[in-house]
Amino acid sequence: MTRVINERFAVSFALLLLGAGLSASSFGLRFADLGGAFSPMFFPRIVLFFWVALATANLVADFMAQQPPAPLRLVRVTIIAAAALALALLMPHLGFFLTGAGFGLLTLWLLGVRDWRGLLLVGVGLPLAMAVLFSRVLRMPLPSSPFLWWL
Amino acid sequence: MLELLPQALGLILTAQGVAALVLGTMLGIVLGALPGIGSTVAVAMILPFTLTMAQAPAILLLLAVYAGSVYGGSISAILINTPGTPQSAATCLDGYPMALRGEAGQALGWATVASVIGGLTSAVLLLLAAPQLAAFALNFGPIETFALILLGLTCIVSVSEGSLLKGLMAGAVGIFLSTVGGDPITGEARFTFGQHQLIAGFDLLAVVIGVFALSEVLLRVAAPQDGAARLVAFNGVVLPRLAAWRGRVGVLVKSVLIGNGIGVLPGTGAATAAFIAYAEAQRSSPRRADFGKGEPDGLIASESANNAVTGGALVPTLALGIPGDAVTAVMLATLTLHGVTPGIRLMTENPVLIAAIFTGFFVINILLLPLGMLVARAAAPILRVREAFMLVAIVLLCVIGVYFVRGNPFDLLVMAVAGLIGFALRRQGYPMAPLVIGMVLGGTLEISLRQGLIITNGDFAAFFVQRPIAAGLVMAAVAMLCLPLWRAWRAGRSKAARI
Repeated sequence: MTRVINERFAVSFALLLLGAGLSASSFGLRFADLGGAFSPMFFPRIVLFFWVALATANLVADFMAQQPPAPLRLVRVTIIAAAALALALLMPHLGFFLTGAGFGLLTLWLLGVRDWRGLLLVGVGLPLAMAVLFSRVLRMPLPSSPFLWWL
Repeated sequence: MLELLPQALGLILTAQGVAALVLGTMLGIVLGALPGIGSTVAVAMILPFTLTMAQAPAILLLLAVYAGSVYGGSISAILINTPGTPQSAATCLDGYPMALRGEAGQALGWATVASVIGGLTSAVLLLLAAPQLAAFALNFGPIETFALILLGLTCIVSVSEGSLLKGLMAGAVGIFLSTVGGDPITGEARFTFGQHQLIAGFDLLAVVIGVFALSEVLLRVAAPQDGAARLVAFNGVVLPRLAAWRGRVGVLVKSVLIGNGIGVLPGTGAATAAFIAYAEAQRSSPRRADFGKGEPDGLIASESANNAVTGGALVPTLALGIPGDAVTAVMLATLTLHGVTPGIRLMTENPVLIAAIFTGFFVINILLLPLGMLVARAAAPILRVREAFMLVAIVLLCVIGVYFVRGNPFDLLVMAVAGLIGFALRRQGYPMAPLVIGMVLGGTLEISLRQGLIITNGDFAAFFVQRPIAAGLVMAAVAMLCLPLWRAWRAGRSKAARI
């Protein structure tokens, strides 16, 4: 079972499912019936046909290859990936400095930085310096925080 | 082109222009020296700083960072045996053994001179070849354009790292991403699924920064490097004496030619050029027995070839709008942001700007010599910086870069998701260059195919029967696709013969 369900296979299978889903959706979309090369779906359907064919071939190749998966620190990667996603989602609302500092401190802590000077200098100082540089010096305002409106 | 030189110099010799050349080259060297950043991420990181700059200095800054980062990779390759950029991987082979012998300064001296000569020859190639190629491409209609892009894409897929299947898959994903949004002919929205932010399509830079920079950060978090690198003793760059070049000029000339030739081919990149040049030098050098033990010929080969690629890769990028590799794909996207559309009309529509780019590229490669000597010494202690600090800085700069391009928070989400997908794909060996280049070229590929079919009344065979240039280009594309299969078949045969 582990031979079938591994990370490599899961990625290939997800690509196949996504391609098949997009192909199916392309037939459900309604457009003015212009036909042939005029149709908005003419080119995407060709691309999606190749996508599905290549994903199937990749799936078979990965199943045959049986390569061992590369080591993965799942918890650390998941938390940092979630933090990056949160940074992207929250930055427009909470401002660059607050979200950047939150991301920096969390990431540094997870990557083993325990020295408070390092945490403060890079985790807080770097986002602060960037916010000041772009907003004040270069006059390119980054999203500001409702709590720290001057940053 | 020479008659435009005074006007071009007028664009370069401004406070911003000179600062862009000098600071950009220095910054490029430092970013290139830091392992894990690489030229693509370096150019993406510098993007937000260019948005408030005038057109010519902004482009010069990007070029300076690009050329500087390719050279900068050699510093960490020689001093800590870790290539700052993939292009410098071959430099480790002889650079680090020299450094271990206490000749780090000499090794960096050979690398600096070889890089400068490689870069300067590639600037000559750019100057000579790009206008000719653009002039030839002016004869192209939609059918030839379709065939040309098809050839470019197959080149990229067939010579990029990893398996052909995975390269093709990544290319297909990239081309599909280019179709999301308004249809180029009818304007109707495709694959937006009710999200109005997608009507203009995915922002290329958000995707590029996600799949290259953010995914790189996640990959490093997933498989961290072992501790801090050991830095060898280094007291500054020592340039080789003229007499030391005796018997080595042949290696230099051959490597420069290899780098320039490979640079022009879409998709090959500087890393391939460096290894091919190194292998050729190892085969033909009279000192071949010393290769891998700290032989300067090895350094000359890899460093001159990888810097010779920079100008070559810019030839199809500027002349045809077909990026040579991932770095030039990012460059292409950033040029568009600055109101420059690379392609066959660029030379005729912006002759002064093009002259400024060519002249600036010469100057950057000349600046590599003094600035390389200066910055290499200053950059050495930076190599001791903890990786965690660098990773945080990369993510924050990427977020700023993506936010400033369109000021659209949705692009930040696109970057984050692209980073996660890029991480998952890269872990399984999917190359990202075909994805990005597919996304860059997908729009033109679609419009040229559809226009071609409208011209020929839907007869696809007429593409090849009535158009000899298109037929030749498509045959070349088929040959490029068959190349990896032939290589695999040959490797299988030789393996069977050994058994």
